[in-house]
Amino acid sequence: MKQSPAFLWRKQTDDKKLLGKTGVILSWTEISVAPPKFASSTPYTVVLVEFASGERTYGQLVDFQETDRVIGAKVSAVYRRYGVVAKEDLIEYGIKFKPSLCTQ
Amino acid sequence: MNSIIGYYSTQFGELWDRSLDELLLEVFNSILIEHALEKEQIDAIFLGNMLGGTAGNSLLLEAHMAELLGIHTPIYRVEAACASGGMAVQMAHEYLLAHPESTVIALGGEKMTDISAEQITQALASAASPLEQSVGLTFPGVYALLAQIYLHTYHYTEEHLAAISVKNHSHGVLNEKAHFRRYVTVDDVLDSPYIAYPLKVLDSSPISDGAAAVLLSNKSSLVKASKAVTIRASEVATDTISLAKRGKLDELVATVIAGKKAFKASGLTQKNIHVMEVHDCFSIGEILALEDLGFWEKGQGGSQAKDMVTHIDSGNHLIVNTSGGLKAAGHPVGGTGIKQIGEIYLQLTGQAGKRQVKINPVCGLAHNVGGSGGVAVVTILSI
Amino acid sequence: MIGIVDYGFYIPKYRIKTKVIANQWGKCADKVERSLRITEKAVAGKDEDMCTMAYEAASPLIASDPSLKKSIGAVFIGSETFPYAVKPTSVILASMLNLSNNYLSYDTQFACKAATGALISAYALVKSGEVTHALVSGSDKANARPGDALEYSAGSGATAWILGQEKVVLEIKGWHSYTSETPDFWRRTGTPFPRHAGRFTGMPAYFTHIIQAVTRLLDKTNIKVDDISRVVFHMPNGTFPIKVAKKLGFSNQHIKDSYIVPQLGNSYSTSAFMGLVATLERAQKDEVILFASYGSGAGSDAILFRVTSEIETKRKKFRDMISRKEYIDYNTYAKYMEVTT
Repeated sequence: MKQSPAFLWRKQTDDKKLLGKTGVILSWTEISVAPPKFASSTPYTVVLVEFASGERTYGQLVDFQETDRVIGAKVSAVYRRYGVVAKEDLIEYGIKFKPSLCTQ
Repeated sequence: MNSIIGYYSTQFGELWDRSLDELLLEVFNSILIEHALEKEQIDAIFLGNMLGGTAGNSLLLEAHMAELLGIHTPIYRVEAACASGGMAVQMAHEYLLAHPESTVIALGGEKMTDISAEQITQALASAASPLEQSVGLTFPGVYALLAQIYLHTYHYTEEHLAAISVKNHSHGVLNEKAHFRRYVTVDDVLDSPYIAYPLKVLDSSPISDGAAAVLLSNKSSLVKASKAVTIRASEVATDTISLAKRGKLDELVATVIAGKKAFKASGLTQKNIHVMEVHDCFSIGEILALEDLGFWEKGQGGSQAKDMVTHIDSGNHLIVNTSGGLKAAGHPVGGTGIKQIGEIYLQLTGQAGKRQVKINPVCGLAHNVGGSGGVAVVTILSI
Repeated sequence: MIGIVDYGFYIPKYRIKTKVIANQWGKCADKVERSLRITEKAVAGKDEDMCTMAYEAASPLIASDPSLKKSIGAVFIGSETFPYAVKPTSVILASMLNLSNNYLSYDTQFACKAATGALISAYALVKSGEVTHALVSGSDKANARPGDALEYSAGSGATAWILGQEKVVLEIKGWHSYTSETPDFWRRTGTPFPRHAGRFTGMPAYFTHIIQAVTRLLDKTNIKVDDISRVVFHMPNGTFPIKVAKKLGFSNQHIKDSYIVPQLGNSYSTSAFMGLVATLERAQKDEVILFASYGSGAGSDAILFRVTSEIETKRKKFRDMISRKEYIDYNTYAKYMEVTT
């Protein structure tokens, strides 16, 4: 399925609202078998995060050590590329999570 | 009163030589032949299939069936991800409640092996929410998130999950139609590669081709002349497609609600059920099912699984997944719900051969789930 | 007073050592390190690009003063590694920062001085009163052909600068841009790696343009070498900036706080800007800073800054931040660099 510009545009409007927020990992998994768009990134980690507002979302976890990847760990939302698209396709940016640094 | 009076299944597995159309034709015709019926005597057909569109670019399967069979009968295709089969039976049951003296067939099938592993992963991910898909969370990944929470909350390990696969594989050895007919040990499961941590290849139901069909009727003369079981309840409940939007993350509330409705409608309780087919798309699925249907206390599932209390040789009064479950029998998605109900039918009518449960079960339950719990269908049958 | 009112930066945490790259190609690691004076460089991760890094650099600025969302009237980004040849990254950045829709925006390219040229344009827009605030960013996930000499230096990073008229931290006292058509380094459209002209990139290119720009700037502002406390030059490697500082009459004292290329490599359009960030961690009120970028093709933007007392509230920690790092091997580096644009 090619990247739909309208779909990405709507998604980015939602994503913006979460940038910079900090939440807690409710659960995580490491994906080893992935669909074509993510096949070259395996293994990668996906987390289910809950923000203080009670809102929840998913995102890939990046820039982490294994000790950061636990239920209950604090993470913050950052802005990264998602998946691999064909050379001519629109690039997809989205929310990923990285471990929250205490001093930030 | 609606009854199931017949059941037929193809082999489940990698069936390179047969297309989806051929599988569906096989089960339809076989069930007619077994019951000496003509196709004109079937008043309606209910077809469960998930991936016709995404894996084969084929929709309007109703017309495929009409072409194969040379009929103009009403055909209703239902898609509810992995619950497509159970839903097809549910809709057949609703149809019969509105149409006395009728006979219908509910069938389901899937062709999953024509496309690559990455492509089937993508196709199956359509049972997950758009957001789950866009972050690269595969369907096993969603169940893995559930498994992580369960193991963390109730202090279990991957070994507890593995026990489910071990049990279901040993049942599968007894099922000549099963995709896998070999024993596995807990170590085999633990050594198998990860698909989505902590779920491994041997925690996960396989990619299978296959089809199954059940014959349903409320035509008194036909029911009297057949080995029949009564449909005591057939209930559906839905829940969110996204795991993220659920209330509790250690249960599938669709199962809880459908289960409660089914017990209420049938007037039966858990104590009456001696044989069950539950939805073990991943090992965690069976543990959650037994808890959510009210057979085990929440959180007890891990240790119950490890003790293999529902194994056919356990001597206990509740035996689960004699077909081998989705794990060993295979999971041609649209066909699974039909197979589950068919297996209970065989058990209650004493036709389960090598895997016949010895306790003479009178009531059985089939539990079929779509997606990560977005829909659940619970069917209770009795003889 | 017109100038910089706030600034930010982002350096990804991954580092690859010159030694590791040299060993990959069977070169003598010590000799390479010594001749380039680069020990290691910063590398952006697989899912980072110049746009995500520019966001990391700019977002704290908006978070600390949300009124900027409405008052920023111009957004410019300079880079050599834009993900799109047609579709402005400056707009994607502005959108992620939730700015208004009422701003002028474009992406600029001029090799490593793409962003400093934009800074001068932004300065003019603010000075003329046409806009209240301007956001300028330089960001690159610089890449080089594997095995090429540029592989040791091409690094990743981003900086962001807000220009305005109130609470100025770095007053702009003057600028001069010296430009001439000089084919020292280029990248053709649709090709992944830049090409360079070897030793031709030295005297006729880097040195001539910086020296000319700086000399003419000091002339027209009547500021002498002795008036200048610190210098920041574009850092394509560890030797050029030291040499040009000496040629212009500056000592190691002047350059030492900006001299970050040995630990971070050359982040192309943000290299000189990053040197400025490093300098500002130590700079004091009333100090005059001489800043000169260099862009191949070729040109140099020389700017004189005066540090104000506002530095005390706006100074950013730099050395501490960049000490948090993780070393990667060549295979990982190659994976991360698979997608740069």
